[in-house]
Amino acid sequence: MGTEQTPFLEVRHLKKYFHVGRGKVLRAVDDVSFHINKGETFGLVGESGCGKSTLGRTVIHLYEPTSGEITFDGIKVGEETSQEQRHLLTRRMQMIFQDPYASLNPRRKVIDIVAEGMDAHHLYASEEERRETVIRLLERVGLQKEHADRFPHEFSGGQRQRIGIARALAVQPDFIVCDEPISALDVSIQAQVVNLLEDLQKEHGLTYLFIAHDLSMVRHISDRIGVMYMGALVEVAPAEELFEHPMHPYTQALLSAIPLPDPDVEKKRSRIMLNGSVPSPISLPENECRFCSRCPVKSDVCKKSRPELRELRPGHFVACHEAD
Amino acid sequence: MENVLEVKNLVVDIRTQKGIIHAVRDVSFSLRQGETLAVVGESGCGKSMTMKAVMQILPKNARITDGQVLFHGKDLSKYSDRRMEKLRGSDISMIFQDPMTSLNPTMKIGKQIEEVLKLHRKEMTPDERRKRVVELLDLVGISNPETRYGQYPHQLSGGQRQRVDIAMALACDPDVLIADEPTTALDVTIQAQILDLMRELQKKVRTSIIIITHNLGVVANIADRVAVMYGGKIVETGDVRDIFYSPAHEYTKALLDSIPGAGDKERLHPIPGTPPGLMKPPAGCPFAARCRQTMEVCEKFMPDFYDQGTAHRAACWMLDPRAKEA
Repeated sequence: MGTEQTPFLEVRHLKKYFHVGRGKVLRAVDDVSFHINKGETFGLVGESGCGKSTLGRTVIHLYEPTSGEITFDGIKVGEETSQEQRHLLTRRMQMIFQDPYASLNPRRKVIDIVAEGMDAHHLYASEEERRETVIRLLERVGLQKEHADRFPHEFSGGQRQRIGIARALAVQPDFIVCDEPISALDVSIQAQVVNLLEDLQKEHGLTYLFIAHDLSMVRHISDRIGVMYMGALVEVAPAEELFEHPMHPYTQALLSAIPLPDPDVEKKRSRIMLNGSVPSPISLPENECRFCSRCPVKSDVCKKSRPELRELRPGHFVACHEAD
Repeated sequence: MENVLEVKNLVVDIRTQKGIIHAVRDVSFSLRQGETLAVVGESGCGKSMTMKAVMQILPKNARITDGQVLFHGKDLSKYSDRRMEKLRGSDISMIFQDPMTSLNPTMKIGKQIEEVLKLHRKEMTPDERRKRVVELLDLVGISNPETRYGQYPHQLSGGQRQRVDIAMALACDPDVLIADEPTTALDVTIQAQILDLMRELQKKVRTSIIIITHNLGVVANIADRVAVMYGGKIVETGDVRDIFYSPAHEYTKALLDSIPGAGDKERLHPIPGTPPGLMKPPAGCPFAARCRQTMEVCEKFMPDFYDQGTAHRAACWMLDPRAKEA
């Protein structure tokens, strides 16, 4: 993907703060800027509590941003000029959730779950058309026609995730936020779902924001990857570049911590162990690097100013004072 | 090397309203002194039930219907509840996936670890116990153990809680530590710390470890030997290098094929279908329905184990000399 094209999704200085009582503020997403090109998969990784899910939800306005700008295919999200435009956006941006057990209404039949978005957007003319569309979607995601009249509890985790994918596809979106869509699935089933997502992307020209903590799968599926730490993007690079030349000390530690399925490699590997634990994300100091307290290469300047993303290699951005 | 634990032909059935689930079907394995055995398999393959049977902590509707659990040669499945209570936490301990639910939220962590000592080391004085707890917290890498002693589980992070769980399990220097998905709920950087800790502790106290996991990276990182489970059965066992570099069972091969290699942008190779239900387990090989190499015999008869070298064996009809002719 060339960087010269206009980005499909552009996020600028996005902030999402939560007030957690007693005047304390949780800065879940704190001044994040990035873009995603059309047809691209942008992977977002980071440890629990780093703000990756909040970022994903804020991008499609499931959460109202505290400040910042989101532009989707030329339209400013949240500042739509008409009701129709807003409707169009909610149709074009969809989401697939992590927990296939919690994200499907247990009291509704599969057909009604999948058709919910179609109902809201009046995407069919007759009851027959509604059923036909749902059946076509179910068959496309690897389920069967008979499944339409069953309830979620009759399905396994992998099958439920397929239902969630069919629901997202039902309204013909062009951008899907996939929030840890495979984390709850068994290894052999994960590959099934990843292949399905890749096939659908090719067929429909979909653009994905793929959030996950399983880094090997993110590496496989993503064109570019962003690494988050404590509400900030600390590194953004093409997938292979990031894995081959991680430049932020946090990314380096994160990558070195993934155990690889190769005993001989594992025996020889040295890990970068981070000292200390993740600091509390509440009331973080404004003007220092968030990674300071655990960083093995910090210097005086890290305590005095917060690093911005800088392009240190082509397409490779790093927010670290010490990286060069 | 001496076998600390030997499980022979273990069968566990679970009674449910809909019928009997044959969760563990004729499982045999052994654990040698000082080694780490990884048990891998998908959810519902019977790996946790096998370990619960070893510990005699099966749910009320499940029971061992056949087989033996030999701990230093003595059959635990014949032990009374009282005798098992003495053994659990002292000679064999277990740590669980979610340290938030396995710790008591209303009790200071120091006191919780002391409970184990009160139960199993009656000769210790309160002062000795306290000293031992601080020592244990220090051993598992918790900073300021004196302060932490008086804190509650919610004041600790997930990784620290898992360390407390490990400290509690190690309080009485057990011969066997069973870890059921100990790092699954943790972030990768914390996972790396816990795996390192387990390895170090094993060197120091010579505990034998069984780790249940579905993460093949974790297996490659920590295991000496591996048992692969599928559909309530062990289908392959071998040294960790055997399993990764010359897998013999079609399931093991397919499982290794399904994970993406480094920098691999090719289409993934998932295993089609889903694992069999164990209410009516298949008569033959449990993997037959999803296998790339299924033959007629696979669906009808369960294959025996075929030796693939010393201590490496797999139960797959493809390994039968007759399969090459067919």
